[in-house]
Amino acid sequence: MTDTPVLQTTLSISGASCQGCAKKIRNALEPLTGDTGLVEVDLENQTVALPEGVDAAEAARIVTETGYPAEPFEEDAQPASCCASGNKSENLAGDDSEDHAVTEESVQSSPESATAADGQVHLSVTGATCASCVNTIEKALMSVSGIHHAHMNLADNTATATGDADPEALVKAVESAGYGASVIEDEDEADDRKQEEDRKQYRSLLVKMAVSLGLGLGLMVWGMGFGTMMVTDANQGTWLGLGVLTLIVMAATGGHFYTGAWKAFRHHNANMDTLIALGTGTAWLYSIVVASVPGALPEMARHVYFEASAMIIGLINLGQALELRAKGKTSEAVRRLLDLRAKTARVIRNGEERDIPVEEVRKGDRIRVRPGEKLPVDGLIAEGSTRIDESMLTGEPMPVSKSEGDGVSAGTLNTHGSIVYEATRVGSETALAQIIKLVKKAQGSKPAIGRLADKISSVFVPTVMLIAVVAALVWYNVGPEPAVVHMMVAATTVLIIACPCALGLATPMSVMVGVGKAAEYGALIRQGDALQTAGKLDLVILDKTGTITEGHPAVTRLHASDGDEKRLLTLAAGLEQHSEHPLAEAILAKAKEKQADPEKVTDFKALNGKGVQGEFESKPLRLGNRRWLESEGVELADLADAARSITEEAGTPLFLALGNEALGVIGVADAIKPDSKAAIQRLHDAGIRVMMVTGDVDATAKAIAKKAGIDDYRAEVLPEDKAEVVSEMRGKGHTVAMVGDGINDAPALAAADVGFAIGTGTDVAIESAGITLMRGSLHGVPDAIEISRATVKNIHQNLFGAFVYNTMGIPVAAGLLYPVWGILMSPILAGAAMSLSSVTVVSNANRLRLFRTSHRPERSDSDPKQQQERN
Amino acid sequence: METLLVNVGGLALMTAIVWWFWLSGSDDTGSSEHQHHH
Repeated sequence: MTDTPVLQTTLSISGASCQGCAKKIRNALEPLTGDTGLVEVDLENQTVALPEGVDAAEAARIVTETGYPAEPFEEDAQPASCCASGNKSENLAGDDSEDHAVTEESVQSSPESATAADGQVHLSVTGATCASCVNTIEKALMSVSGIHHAHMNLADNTATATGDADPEALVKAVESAGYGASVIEDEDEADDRKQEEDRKQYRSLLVKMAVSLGLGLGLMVWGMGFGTMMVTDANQGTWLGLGVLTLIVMAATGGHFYTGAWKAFRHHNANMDTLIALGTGTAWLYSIVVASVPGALPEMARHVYFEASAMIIGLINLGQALELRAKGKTSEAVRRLLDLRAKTARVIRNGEERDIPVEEVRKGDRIRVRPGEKLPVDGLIAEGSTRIDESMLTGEPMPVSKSEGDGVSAGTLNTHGSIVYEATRVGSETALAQIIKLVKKAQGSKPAIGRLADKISSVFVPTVMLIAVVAALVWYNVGPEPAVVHMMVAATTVLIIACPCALGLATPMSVMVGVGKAAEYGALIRQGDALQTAGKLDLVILDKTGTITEGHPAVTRLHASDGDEKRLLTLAAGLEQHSEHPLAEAILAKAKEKQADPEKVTDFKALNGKGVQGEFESKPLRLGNRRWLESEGVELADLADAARSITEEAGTPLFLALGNEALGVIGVADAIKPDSKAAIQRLHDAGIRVMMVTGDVDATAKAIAKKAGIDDYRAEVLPEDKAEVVSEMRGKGHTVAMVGDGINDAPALAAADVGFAIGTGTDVAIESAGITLMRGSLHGVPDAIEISRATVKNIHQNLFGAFVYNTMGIPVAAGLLYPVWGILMSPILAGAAMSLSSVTVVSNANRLRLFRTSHRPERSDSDPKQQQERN
Repeated sequence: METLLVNVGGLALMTAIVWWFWLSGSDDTGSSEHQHHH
């Protein structure tokens, strides 16, 4: 981003998450600005900078219409980057893009910034049970003026509202829609509080279940004991008394259903509560009429259904209790990450070491970490060296060697030596905090398939109410006697069985488990959509450098004309010790390894595109490509064979000549990562074609493709053209993943159906990619694809189950089987079936937790170490 | 008479449901989700 002073008007936007979005915004604003090049979209800070003189309000309107809620940013003549970071500057410590995650989230969680122009307010919501509730709550939040985007996550019962509004107004809006809400100010505290609330709610649901089921079963036994559930003159008084008792129990144990239904009704909404309230209410009302004036009904119709009302409420309470417990397990992945955080840090201040709470660690503090201890914050090692177990963050099983100057991350485990390091990122800025936030955010995001389920269920409940009335009328008009009883039973059963709670839980539950599972394998999935699309991929395009290969070249071959390889190295190293080129590093590393001390070379010059040159023993010493040396009159024919074999092995030949005498050729190659071939084979096994794009010459690209087992390659592709290759393949009908290191590949990552940013540890550029791999290994790609496929399969199973349950259940409940087999379902059975359906969905999602990918490295199990440390 | 009353009542109830949940609700029923475009 350039801070051009003429760019003075800034919009704050939301929802723009990729280069594609940025392009759309630029195109939409073209009529206003006259040139797309004048519009700067900053995805990191979610701002759009416009040229001076552009009507900000009009621009905001256009961008909002394009699908990205926007409003003018109130700031004077500041460059876009300053404006955007104005209220977030504390968190913009680093310059790498991953800080974005923190910045964005910290705005959400800070109460001061909760009402900022593009602020987000996080709410903890209680009482939401189904897809209809989600719609109701989102609508309620959207109705608050200033809010332009609202999202409710049923899996963890939180809602996020984006816009400019008082958090209290949002709480009130949710409360008036029939649910409980509170503003989440401190995420950690909120997590603890939520766990405590869940435990309380679980116990309370169990008590309520016991009371209502107890009454229902008691009534049933009592009724049968007396031989009848029919009202007679003799037992009318008793039934009336029992009716009142049932009403009290219904209010005490199922009151939340009735208040929820009423509040939703007032807002022209209908949800699961509506169905339960109507179903149990109908049964009770009918029964109390029978008990009060039995004479008004034919003798056969004087049946009471008090036990049904009580038992339905009991069963649904039981279902919700089981569901609550299973939900707790799905968020285990995040909890495990939270547990990685150290509580204290041993800080050295004024030469004195003392343990302080990790919250008090400041940037620049020096921290001592002894073997077996967890690192409290991110930083750079200042003293000592060690091996650090980063498996908890990257999935990389082997501890990584670290010494002075190396970066270390919070939450990782020091396995070996004692180190002192300087804190560079603390609190919510650490890589661990970012990962936790990313995972939480992705777990709450809905893939397209989930949005479809939401849409269906928003019209579902009123439709079910219509079906119930139709069923009642049909039974009344053409059903057998007692028609009144049959119509009441059919209507009640339809209302009870049709609750869409399973439908509402189907997607979020699986997404939550799937995203958590991927995080376990070191793959951070940013959006639900990426999770869904990754399962459909049929072509994976890999960037070469740093993705398939190590990303840093190494000497693979030495060929001296006179056979003296050591001399070849000492001279080459003598030249290259003055250079900072990656190839020079490779040669110097090799010289060090072979204990070849570099010769003293003077008059060093680097010649771009040719090589390097210096003077040795009064003769010019040159190291470079063939064309240059030949043009200097060096005869290289004798080295042609050696050079060819270097090229065939995917290396670059560098020729060394002293004066006009060719001394030899050095092969430098970027070695293929040891597990790249196996990972590519796994992609093939999954039925996915693999293609490589690289800027290398054809011969090198061909050699690498052959070595790594790649189906197809494109050589000599400039970084900016990679996106075109991706678009071309998408145009051919492929569902394409682009895997790159996420910095120069950003446009290609954004252009792909799913972008995988591959990076080691904390140096990941996640901005343009849907999925970020925390490990350097390519295995992350097949891992993520396998998890994605398993998750999507799980979602399908859940949705299929929920749909089948509802589509089969409703006709059966309405009495469709009665004409053939004389079967009319009891409302009690409907209540049990409904509870069972949500429990089944939640349990099926939990099954995903056991999923293992086809490749599982030997992990150094970090749990026992942590256990040891805690003790 | 009773049959007529029940049927008319049922139809009235259905009309009321349609009116209350679809026609008179001021809020739109569409999903407000942000769609991710490429």
